[in-house]
Amino acid sequence: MTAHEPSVPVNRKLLTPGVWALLVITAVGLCFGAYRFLCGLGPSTNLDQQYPWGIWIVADVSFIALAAGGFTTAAVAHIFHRQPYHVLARPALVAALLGYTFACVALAADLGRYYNIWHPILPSMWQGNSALFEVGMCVMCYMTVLYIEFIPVFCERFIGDRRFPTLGRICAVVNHVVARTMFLFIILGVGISCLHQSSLGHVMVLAPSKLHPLWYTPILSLLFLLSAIAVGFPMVIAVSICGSWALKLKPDMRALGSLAKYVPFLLSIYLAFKIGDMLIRRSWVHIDGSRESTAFIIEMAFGLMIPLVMVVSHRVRSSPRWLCIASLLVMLGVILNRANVYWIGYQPPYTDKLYFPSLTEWGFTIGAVAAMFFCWRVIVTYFPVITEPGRAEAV
Amino acid sequence: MAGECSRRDFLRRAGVVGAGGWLTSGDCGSALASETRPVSEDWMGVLVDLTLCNGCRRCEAACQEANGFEVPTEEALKDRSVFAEHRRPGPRTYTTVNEFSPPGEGAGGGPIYVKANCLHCNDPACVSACLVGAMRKQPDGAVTYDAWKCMGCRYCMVACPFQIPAYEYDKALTPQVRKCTLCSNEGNPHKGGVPACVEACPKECLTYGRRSELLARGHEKIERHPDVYIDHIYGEHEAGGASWLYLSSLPFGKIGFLNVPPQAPPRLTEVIQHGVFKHFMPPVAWCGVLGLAMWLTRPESQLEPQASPADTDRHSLPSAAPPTGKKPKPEGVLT
Repeated sequence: MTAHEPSVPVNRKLLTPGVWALLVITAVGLCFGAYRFLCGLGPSTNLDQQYPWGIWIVADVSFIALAAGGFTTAAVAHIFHRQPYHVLARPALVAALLGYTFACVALAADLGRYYNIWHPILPSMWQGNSALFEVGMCVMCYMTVLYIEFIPVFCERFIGDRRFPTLGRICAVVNHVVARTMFLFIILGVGISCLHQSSLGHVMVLAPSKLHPLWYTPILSLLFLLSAIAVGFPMVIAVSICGSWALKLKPDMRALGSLAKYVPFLLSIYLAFKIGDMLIRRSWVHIDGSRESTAFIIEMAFGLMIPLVMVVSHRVRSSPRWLCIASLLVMLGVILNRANVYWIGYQPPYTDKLYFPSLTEWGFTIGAVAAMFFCWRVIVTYFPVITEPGRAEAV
Repeated sequence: MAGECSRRDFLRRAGVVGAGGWLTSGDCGSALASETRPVSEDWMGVLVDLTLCNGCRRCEAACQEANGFEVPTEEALKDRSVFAEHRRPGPRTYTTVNEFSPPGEGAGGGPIYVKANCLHCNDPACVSACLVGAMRKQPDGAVTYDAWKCMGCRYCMVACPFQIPAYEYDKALTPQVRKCTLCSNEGNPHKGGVPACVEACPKECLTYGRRSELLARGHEKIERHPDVYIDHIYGEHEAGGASWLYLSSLPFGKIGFLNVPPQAPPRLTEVIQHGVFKHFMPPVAWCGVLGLAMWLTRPESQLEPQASPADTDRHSLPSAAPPTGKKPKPEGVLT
């Protein structure tokens, strides 16, 4: 399906000072992770009987929301066959793959009995009334689909590589089989994504008395789906632009700028539903200067309205720096939304103190993000992910 | 041409999906939902008459003993200073008694003592939440926990409207969710009989029996002594109803009870979720629609497997210069 310029491994040194810094942060994060697994959740986190969910759950749902770029890009590039976006499909795939993988890492840290993480597979334990069951099943299926979608990237790397003749031949066969069935996995990937992105919002609908009314709505699932779809392209744009800067490449502004044209439209739908829901439920009466209402206003203003106004402008869309800032704001807005729903807006009836993440919780989360960046760097260095439009253009 | 079509379809579909989601999850959801699932005659429960309790905490001590937790000494039970702070049930205390002295009120003017524990809801949110079915509503009405199935996600704690399940955060390897089992847990000497707390109560303010009979008895008491009791049995309707039922002389809001709406939370969430997944048709249809869109918008190169040099040339265009024919359209639609 790639009739355009092929993706190639980027020809750059891997261990630059920046990458070393990522490795150091990852190592520190690993130490915090070891502390959590050796000593348990009690000593390592600030979670308690009032606040059973903390920043690791926020990280999970945020990683998964941002990884929506994988399925939205697959939709435009492979389902609607928008040729110009084919160059972005692989970078988006890799970002989504890492997003989901590290969401699982954060989840494993958060689960008290992480060794039972596979239990939802067993039909004897299926519990179809649970929104989390739906999320769990879909995430497992979608991860599988993502890794299958990654097979061509892996295989292309070794096909015709004289150092690994056998591996190359196996890869050629596998690649052929996968290419024949890829359309199925692409459809499945987009379909499954829509299901569990919305279910992640549906999770909190079960706690009507605990979630602050600024966020609690029966259509929370729909808002989660719309925000995931809205944040998908900005994530791909931000990763592509920041990635190009890090690799000293020229960002492909033709594809990115044109992809950015979808963003105001998708953001407007999300904003319209959010405001419509607020008007119907009259939840604006809760904007009263409290901690929660401040968080809500920041989420709406900086994460939704300002980037929406920015990205409508053609000048913003054609400037790598401003497009990147606008995209990062959209991402921040969605992360803040997830944090608000799962943390700030979570108000248990009996509380003696507010939850704030511990050093270990912050350290492990930041370490996971650094590890994600490092893995991205490794993958684009050794596998054909990025298209360099005329290598001569590289700075 | 194909590009145009796909884009318009994409927009239209987004609208349809949005509207559908609103319908299934919004108004229809709550209109179709009932308050609770069918209540069984077999469910047992406990009727608590708060006007009789004197705060002796024998129920706490009996509970601790039945579950193998640390048992308070006679001295500790007499020590009234424990009432200075509001104590909640925790991982090693399934029940706590708290003292409430609403200013200038109370039958006889004395303080009111309230025993807190799992209410064993008719339609428990924790059971609906648990993705591996570790939380179960048993045939006798008890809501129980199976540690062997549990993943430790703690969604049950998030879901419980009464904030009851407690977690063993201090255990590194095998933490469990802990809460009252209505004395139905393995190893409990009271298993299959009257719960330890009920048996221990010297003032007979706890009555164990069929939930339906307890409800009838509660209403009878209210009818006979309207001067003593307020006309409200807490647990009859709260969160869809529960196995623990409370009679009080004061409004429940004044003695630490939560104001919980009568609809069981799962009635809304399960209706939405099963609507979206009805017979698996909506997801399958959605994937079918995606497949159809994929087929309808397939590029010409896929129609003719042998791509001519001209074709290849055309496809390399996007990375060199945007195809002029397609450019104005997206702008017209999207900006």
